[in-house]
Amino acid sequence: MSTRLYMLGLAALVACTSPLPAAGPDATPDPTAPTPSYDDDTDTRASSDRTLRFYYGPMKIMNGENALFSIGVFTGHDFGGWDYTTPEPTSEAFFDSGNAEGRYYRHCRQLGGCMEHRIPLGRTGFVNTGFVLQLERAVIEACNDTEAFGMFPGNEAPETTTAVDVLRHQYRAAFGALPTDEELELSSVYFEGHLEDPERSDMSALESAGRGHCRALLATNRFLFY
Amino acid sequence: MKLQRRLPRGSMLMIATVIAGAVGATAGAQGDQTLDGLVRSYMAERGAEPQLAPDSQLCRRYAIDLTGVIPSLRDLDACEGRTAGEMFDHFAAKGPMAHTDGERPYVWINLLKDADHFLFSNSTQFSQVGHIREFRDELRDVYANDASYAGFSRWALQSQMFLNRFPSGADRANASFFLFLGRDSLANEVPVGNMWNGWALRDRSIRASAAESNPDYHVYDYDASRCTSGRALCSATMWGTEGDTPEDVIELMVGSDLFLEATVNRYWERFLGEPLPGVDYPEIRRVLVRGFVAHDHDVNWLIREIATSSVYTQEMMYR
Repeated sequence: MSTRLYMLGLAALVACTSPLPAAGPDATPDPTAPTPSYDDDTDTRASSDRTLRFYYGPMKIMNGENALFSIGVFTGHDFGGWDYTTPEPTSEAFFDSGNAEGRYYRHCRQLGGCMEHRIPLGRTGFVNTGFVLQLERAVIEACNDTEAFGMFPGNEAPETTTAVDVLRHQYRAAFGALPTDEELELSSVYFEGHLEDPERSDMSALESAGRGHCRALLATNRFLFY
Repeated sequence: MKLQRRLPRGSMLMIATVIAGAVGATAGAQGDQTLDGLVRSYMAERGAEPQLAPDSQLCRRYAIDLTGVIPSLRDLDACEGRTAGEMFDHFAAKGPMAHTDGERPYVWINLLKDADHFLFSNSTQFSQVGHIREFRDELRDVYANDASYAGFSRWALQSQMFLNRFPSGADRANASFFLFLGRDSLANEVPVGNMWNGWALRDRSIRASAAESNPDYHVYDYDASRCTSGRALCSATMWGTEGDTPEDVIELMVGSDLFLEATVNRYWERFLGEPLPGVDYPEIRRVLVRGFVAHDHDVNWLIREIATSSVYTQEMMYR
């Protein structure tokens, strides 16, 4: 990684010191120049500013809809549906629509707007404070749903499994890969501390720790970016 | 060719609108060049080779981009040891939003998802249920049956839902240009707005004088030499003439190079998270546009071409 970063910095330096293209956006077009077309491969417009653009794959952030459904898949929690023919879920007229609470609507709206919604102009397209707070609400709602066990191996309460089993399951399900040794160690420390002093008393200590760890994983950038 | 004749001749505006037929005729000539081949050649120029992402990372990328959710454990098992193409096929076969049991299929991935001019408004959602369902069925055809996206666009711009959602000619011009040509406001584009309302243009001098006094007025002149920004698309002349109808406007839009470029650019941005490289890599847009035309405006081909190329399948920078 350090070599890559060095190369990237080098490329940026080269780009900064490279001469600017001769023709900028405001340059007057030459009326005698031939019109480029798609059957013409002799295009000379390509500038020399070819940086390390293609050295890495894309890195994107999940939109609200992807994040909510992914949290739902990971935890087994149901955020409620959204009927795109329903204009306002909080309206009394739509109490029978299956989403009278408007949970999905509120989450999705704050997370950047979802498909089939009326989305606010100037909606959030980046991770701002409102986004983080709303994501936290969604994660807490899903991980603390006592009827959802998707965050545990076998999709059931962790009675015969161990903390390591839960950890490995959660890492793979959330990030697609098993934890590294360092991650496993850090998460194990969390589990050990939580098992000694469980957050909740209405479930086993391991389940309580697993739900707390669920919240931690889903609130990371690693989960949100892909 | 009918439309080409309609364009004003001898105009001071630089007219280089190429109708779809002309592009299509040349599309197959050099259509064997692939996006992946291009990207690899760019990297080879710098003595580099693509570094593919680990299976787990690429599997997650495909899952979220193609189905809208993170992969299940079963998906992750299926991805192990697979090629990028096989992973793509695995998730593409599931279909977008498959986890919702078909309740919300095919819609999320469409070009309109990130558009601010949203078709499903608060007011139209309630009263236009039938039209919205019709719209969704048409869109489903584009993804499920490889129907032509150009054909869908023609239909959409004349659909009752679109016309109801955007009642004025100016609104329709704004929305349609944004959605299908990737351009923002058309506030000054009165002729197009008028045509969309079915009004004939009555005074050509309005257009000419406006163009002369306002340099921003004719931003849709197609002048490839101005395409210096990666984000800005090449613009195209969209002038109609007296007697043009809304159908003529639609044909002018869907038949233009700008339509092809905007479509390619939107899908590129959708999957790569950044605009298609502009002046630095004009070959990319050319190859994708050619292929898109050669494959009869099949967005499934376009998606696969982008998502199985090295530009998509390499390792993420921060991981």
